[in-house]
Amino acid sequence: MSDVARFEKYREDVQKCMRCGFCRALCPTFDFVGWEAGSPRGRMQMVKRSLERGEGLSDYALDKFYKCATCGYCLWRCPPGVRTVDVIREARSYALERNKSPAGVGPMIGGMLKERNVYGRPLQERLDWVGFFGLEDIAKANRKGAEILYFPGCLAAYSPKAMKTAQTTALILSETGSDWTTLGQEEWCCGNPLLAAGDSAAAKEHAQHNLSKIADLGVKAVVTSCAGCYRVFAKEYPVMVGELGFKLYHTSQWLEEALRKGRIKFEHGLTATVAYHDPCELGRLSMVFEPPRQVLRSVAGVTLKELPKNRFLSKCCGAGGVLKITNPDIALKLSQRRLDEARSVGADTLASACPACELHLLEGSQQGYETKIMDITEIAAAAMGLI
Amino acid sequence: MVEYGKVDGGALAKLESAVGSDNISTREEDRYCYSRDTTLFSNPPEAIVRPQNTQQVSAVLKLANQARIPVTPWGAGTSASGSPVPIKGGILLDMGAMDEIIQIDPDNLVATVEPGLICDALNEALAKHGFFFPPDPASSPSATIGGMVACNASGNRAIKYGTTKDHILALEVVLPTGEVINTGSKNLKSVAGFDLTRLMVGSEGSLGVITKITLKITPLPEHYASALMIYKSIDELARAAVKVRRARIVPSMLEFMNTKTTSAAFKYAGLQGLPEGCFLLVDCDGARESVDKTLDRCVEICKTEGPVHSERATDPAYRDKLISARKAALPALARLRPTTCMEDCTVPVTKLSQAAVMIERIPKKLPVEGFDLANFGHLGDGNMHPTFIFDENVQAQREAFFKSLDTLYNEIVLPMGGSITGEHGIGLIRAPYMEAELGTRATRLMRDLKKLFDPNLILNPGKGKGGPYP
Repeated sequence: MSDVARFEKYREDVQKCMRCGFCRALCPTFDFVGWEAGSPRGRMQMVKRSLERGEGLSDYALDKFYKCATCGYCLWRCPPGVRTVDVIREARSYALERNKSPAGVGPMIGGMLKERNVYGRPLQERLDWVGFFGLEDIAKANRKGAEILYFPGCLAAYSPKAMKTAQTTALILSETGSDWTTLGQEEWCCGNPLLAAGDSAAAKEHAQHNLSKIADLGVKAVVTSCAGCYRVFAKEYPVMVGELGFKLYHTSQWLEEALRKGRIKFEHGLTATVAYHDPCELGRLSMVFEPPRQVLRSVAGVTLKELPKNRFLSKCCGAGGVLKITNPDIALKLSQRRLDEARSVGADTLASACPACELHLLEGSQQGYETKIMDITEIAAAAMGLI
Repeated sequence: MVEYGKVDGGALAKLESAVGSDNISTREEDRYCYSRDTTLFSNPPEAIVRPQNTQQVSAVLKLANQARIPVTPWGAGTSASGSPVPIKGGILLDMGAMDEIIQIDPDNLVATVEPGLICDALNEALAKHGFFFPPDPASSPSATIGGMVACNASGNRAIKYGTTKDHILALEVVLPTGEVINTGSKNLKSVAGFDLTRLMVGSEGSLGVITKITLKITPLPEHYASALMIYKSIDELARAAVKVRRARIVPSMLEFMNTKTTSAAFKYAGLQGLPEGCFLLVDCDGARESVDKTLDRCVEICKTEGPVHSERATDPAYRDKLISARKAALPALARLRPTTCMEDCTVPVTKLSQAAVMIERIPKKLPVEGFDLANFGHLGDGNMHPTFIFDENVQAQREAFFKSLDTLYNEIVLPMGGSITGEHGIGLIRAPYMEAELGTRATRLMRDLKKLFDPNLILNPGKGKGGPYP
């Protein structure tokens, strides 16, 4: 593809940018770049310039396209509806084809294509969390005819610090007597990091694989505890592959429904002042705001606090858009900013509903914060007396 | 013609020693990104400088003045006048890095801030103390306080709270020579000397670069309430508004949208089930009892003009939605066509209806396919924003736009005793009409004033205020 042909489909988008700057002020990464080119508006202008001149994007421009968490604030805020995140992904795809991605992106994709997980760890380790918590009796993979498939995603499956999310989800599912299974080693990364890195072809391959394996099992519902997996299943898979053919839940939605229908009861209290961090992929990009809050409100002894920037205005914790790989310094500062927000409202616990956020906030909290970081499934499991 | 210097190697070296190489860019991409605001005008600067403090601003202006290099101050580039477009090239001063809140002093009812601070961020900080900064442009999520001061911005609440100029007490300003002056006083009252603060407010970066702002803060009202009226015609709507004023009521907002804007804004804001027509929003704030009583009276008055729809927004969330719909006028129109150019004019409120009808006829006088217009604004102060919607890439539509400006300002606004700008400024777009409003003598006096402050005419040259200089 020529240098600019790939951007033609966004010509109308970048032309209709009215330069109002609404995308700029609360863009989480813009503060750390400062220059207009580092704002969403600036990025759109750089693509417009490329189209006007028939030139590709320079290395300088590409650097700015990676200083972005693809959190979707600009997308939501944009008055004329410019598809900012799609344009950013296209620019990253352009960089990838020309070997101009930042160091770390190529190895991540390489590991992904080999081992089908974001860490590039052996595929065989995908079920280590089951053995780690001794859940072999309840977490049985690839059971045909099961009603629910639990899709933990790479982070809850591979990261020792996030495995608790997979463990508690498994315990809750079993406690309710749900007939559930996993894809086991047949589970591939949902493809979200590939999309963020600009490799949509590989992401599509992952989508096709996962949907095909899920279809083989014939489950009626898929529950995922990862906000990124949830968004990709809900928003990207239908476009890349086709209709899902099952009901999709994020764990927060599943828990909220189970509470409402009386399938689970929170009989154990917890003394905590909890602030909820809206993961970008679940909140702003998937519009799931209330279920996690409802779950937290249902726990006796939990005082739920809102962060100053919440719901649509929620700021990315820094874990999104492969920012941790491309610009770890900015990513870390974003997590600390979120922890500062939690501190400002007097929260002793910062809860999220995504292992990526949880892990990244945990990393940020190592820099002198006493805030406890928890996933809502952990809080729910504690309230059910399961852990 | 003024001969300007270039940002050559020598100038760049001096700039680097003044602000550090990290705060300067001459990259093509950056020059492109800083070349335009929300208008159709564009021209790239030769260099962009991001000063970190007053000393650096002073050093940049001093060396620019010596080399006669044009300098264009830039807040967030959200202007709707072309004011921050570096039309003569030179140095663009991006003031975004100077965005600190220096002090909030509720006991003395003042706050001191740097110019790059965003309006909404200021109000978020003030709200913690129970105060706010009333000027409320629709661009408040992105507009900087420095830009608002430079353009004397206002917005929905101006009818009750006035414009930016009514809230600025003192400024620190770097003159084009690099000298730093302080204008006004941090005390609420001071008549010491000429009012240079008022002179600077609205000067559009043509007299000095504002580096520190002390502003008056206002207690947040205890209660708010709104009413929505929809009328078949702008005539009925405007008559209702005049009646409200005649009843000696000063609402905090008296906002209108014509039928086309209303339809687009309701769709954008997700407001359903309301009849088609012209939107009138009446908002009152203050003590609860007084607000409710005043709003009841407003509704009673507005009903005498026979609205097709009338309701009080008792639910705060619904009130917010109505205000959001009004604030979404421009964004909603932006979804209709590739280009939206928002104009700015004021007329006496008693003539608003007549002016609005004439403005709506403009596209019919220039029948160009794809070229259209919508209208909305701040009825309470006669401030309208006729907004042209078209495609700037189609030559005939682009030409129709510029021809329409002559009709708008020369044939409608000025003959009615109006002003060519209520809150957006002169910049480039309204420069051709300024003298027609102010007269030759006053315009010349302003040019002389500009030269007194800026002998080498380096600050924001080529714009209406203080120029163009022969």
